[in-house]
Amino acid sequence: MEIIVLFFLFFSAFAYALLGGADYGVGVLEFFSANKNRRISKFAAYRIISPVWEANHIWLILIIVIMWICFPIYYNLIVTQLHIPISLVLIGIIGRGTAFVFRHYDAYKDRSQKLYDSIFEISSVFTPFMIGVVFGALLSGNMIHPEQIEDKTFFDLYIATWLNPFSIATGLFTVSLFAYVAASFLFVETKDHEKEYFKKKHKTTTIAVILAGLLLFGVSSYENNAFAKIALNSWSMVVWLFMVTALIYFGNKYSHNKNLFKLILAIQVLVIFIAWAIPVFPNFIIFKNGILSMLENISPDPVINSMGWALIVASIFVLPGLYHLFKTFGLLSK
Amino acid sequence: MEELMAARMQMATSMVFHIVFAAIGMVMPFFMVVSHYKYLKTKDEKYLELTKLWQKGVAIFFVVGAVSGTMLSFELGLLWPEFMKHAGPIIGMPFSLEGTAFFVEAIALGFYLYGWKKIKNKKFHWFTGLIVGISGVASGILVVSANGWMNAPSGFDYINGEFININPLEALLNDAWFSQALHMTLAAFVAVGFSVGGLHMYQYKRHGKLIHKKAYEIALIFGVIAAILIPISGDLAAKDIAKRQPTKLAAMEAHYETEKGADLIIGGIVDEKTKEVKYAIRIPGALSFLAFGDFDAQVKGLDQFPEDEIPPVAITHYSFQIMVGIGTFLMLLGMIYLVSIRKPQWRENKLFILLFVLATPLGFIALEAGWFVTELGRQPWIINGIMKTEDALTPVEGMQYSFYLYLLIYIGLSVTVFWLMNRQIKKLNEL
Ligand code: HDD
Ligand code: HEM
Ligand code: HEM
Repeated sequence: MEIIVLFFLFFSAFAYALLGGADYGVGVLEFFSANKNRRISKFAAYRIISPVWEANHIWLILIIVIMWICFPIYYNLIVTQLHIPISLVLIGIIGRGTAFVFRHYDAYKDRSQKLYDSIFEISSVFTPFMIGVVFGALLSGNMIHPEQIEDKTFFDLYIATWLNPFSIATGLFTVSLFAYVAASFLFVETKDHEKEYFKKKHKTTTIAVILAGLLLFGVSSYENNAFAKIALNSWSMVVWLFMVTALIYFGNKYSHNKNLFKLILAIQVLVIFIAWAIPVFPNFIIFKNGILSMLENISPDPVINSMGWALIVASIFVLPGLYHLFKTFGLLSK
Repeated sequence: MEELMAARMQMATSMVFHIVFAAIGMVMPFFMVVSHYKYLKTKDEKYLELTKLWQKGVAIFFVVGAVSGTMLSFELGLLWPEFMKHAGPIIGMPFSLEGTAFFVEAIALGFYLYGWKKIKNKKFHWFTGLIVGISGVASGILVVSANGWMNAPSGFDYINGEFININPLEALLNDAWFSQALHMTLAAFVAVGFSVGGLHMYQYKRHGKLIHKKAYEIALIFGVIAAILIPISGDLAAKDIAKRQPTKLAAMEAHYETEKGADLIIGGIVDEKTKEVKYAIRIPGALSFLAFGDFDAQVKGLDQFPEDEIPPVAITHYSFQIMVGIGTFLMLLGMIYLVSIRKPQWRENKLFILLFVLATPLGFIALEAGWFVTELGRQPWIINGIMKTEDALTPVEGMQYSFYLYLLIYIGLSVTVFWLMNRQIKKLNEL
């Protein structure tokens, strides 16, 4: 059952990065588009994304629930030491979600639209950035092992853990990755002048992801931080190089076949996940000193078993529903 | 402000905010599908128009409910990490099932909102709307079960400060879940039924559009039936508490001294220092009767418990009085409404309309008051009898800034949502 629970945890994280990511990315693209193109961005995105909008964000809730039920010690560490950036993520989520519906459902389309737009765009960039920061913080090697918190200051415990170059670089990478996912997605989903537009975006974001990825590695090896020591060995570099090449090559080659293109896109995101997860497994938090294995700090068996079953039963209900939802609204073509 | 106080206030603010949207998210879909059903049956365009109007409301409220709920699920950990560390694995079951219910709800809502043209099978489209409502209620019941566990912890053995032999299913089916879930579900229908009903009745009076009449008829029938049932389930809850949480009962009733044949205290001003209630109406023996079904039963007063295990009495007592007062009023109003179905001339009466318009916010006030009773009455425990709230608090300092920030956000959002709804109605009346 441990395996099942872990599988669902990673699957949710992956699904959030892909589907939630596309969703945030749309806002990122809008933020970075020139005024005259903003409408294209806005309307294409709305048409395509909104039916699945809600469902995309529940993955995050699933991640949290699995964490707190099955890995309470890890969860406890994360929510205390990363209290501040997580709160910032929440504020971003609130701003973005509400601005998104308000701008669509407001009965009058007047000046307030401008305000909704800016809140939506700013929080679309800010939220994934902070999510990346949180993620980066776990691996940057600045987290404090629970046995060593005694003599630490507020700054060591609650600021330095996340306010460091590596976390920030991860934040930037996340934003670019999400923008890339969105641009690729919209590129195959649109037609005519919209397609032209997103094709350009697809190109620029491809470059952005690569640059951000390089920056991430650069910072990591310059600092020679924990992540660099563990993950930047030769084989993961091979994976990364493979990914980058595949990303550019296949993306362009198969852009006429929507489903294949999306599959490749999903694989790209998956590869990034694997490249990150395998080397650090099973210590998903890297501490300044000391180790705390995620698997050895798992909840007792009855909890894991019931959670595992709950997840299996839940997916029987949820996955077919999701599949049909995507299909009905043309996000998976027949 | 001290850290604990700030964290408690932040929790309270978030909950008070979320519950409004949660209640609407649970109930509005039912109104919507009834209206939709009537449209499919009668082909009366007015019902279609109404369905679409309510659908917009559901969409707006759903999203605000979803984001505020997402915040809450983080806040539980951010504010009370020690609580979550131990309670998480035990009460995880309702939360993971709730997650499933949300998923189903979000998928169904996607189908419903955007499926008007895309879904060929009209019945199936309608059915997805119904699923939205059912899964909303299911998720409500599940979270309330988690809250019930905080009141009546079960499904584990607590030995030397360790939680062992965890049984998630037993924790889910704790002693409090049923009475609380039933009462909460009814409360949601009361609150939303009367507020939507009152609102449309007012609009009907002012603008005379038939759509408003149809709207209030649908909303009120739900509200009215729930309002007539809710005192019964409230009594059930109170009897439960009498057995399980005597401190809470004593605080609710401002009952300081243990006695047989205890009086029911109605109204009054509580003085926590002198432990007296002034200017109250007292009904002899009634408290004993309500709590234990026997006029002579002994009811434990607050004097039976150590000082540091007593919840804040005054607020709990006032909140309880407010809830019960409103409950009684709405029950009577509900009966009047049922009679008015037979005597339509009553509905022309100014006083009749005025009463329903006045009732618009009352259900929600009772709902919030009831939660204050439950949550404040449990203090100082976060897990009744097991863990104190202060021991669950996060070690992160500066919680007051966090509280002010959240407060600002919630106020901003409330104002915006209110303003948006106003604009919806204004637009409708311009058409
Ligand atoms: C429209 C809202 C509403 C109305 C009219 C009432 N209640 Fe209520 N009550 C709630 C809304 C509510 C609530 C907000 O939903 C609570 C908070 C926790 C819960 O499960 O339900 C609650 C809690 C609650 C509790 C505490 C439960 C606990 O802590 O476990 C008691 C004893 C009562 N109620 C009793 C009553 C009685 C005797 C009523 C008679 C008229 C009544 N309520 C009307
Ligand atoms: C939505 C309706 C609810 C409202 C209005 C509400 C209200 C409140 C209030 C006023 C407090 C502060 C009490 C105090 O510290 O003095 C509080 C605390 C808390 N509530 Fe709720 N509550 C609600 C539902 C829930 C549910 C369903 C859960 C759990 C699943 C929950 C969990 C908590 C926790 C963990 C605390 C903090 C610890 C404590 O103060 O005891 N609440 N809530
Ligand atoms: C009595 C208390 C509560 C009730 C009745 C309730 C009910 C609901 C309902 C019906 C929804 C669906 C949203 C909508 O349709 O508007 C919702 C959303 C949500 N609630 Fe609550 N809730 C309560 C308290 C809580 C607590 C304590 C938490 C945190 C642990 C929480 C977490 C969530 C989350 C994460 C969502 C968003 C899910 C989504 O995206 O659909 N809720 N709640």
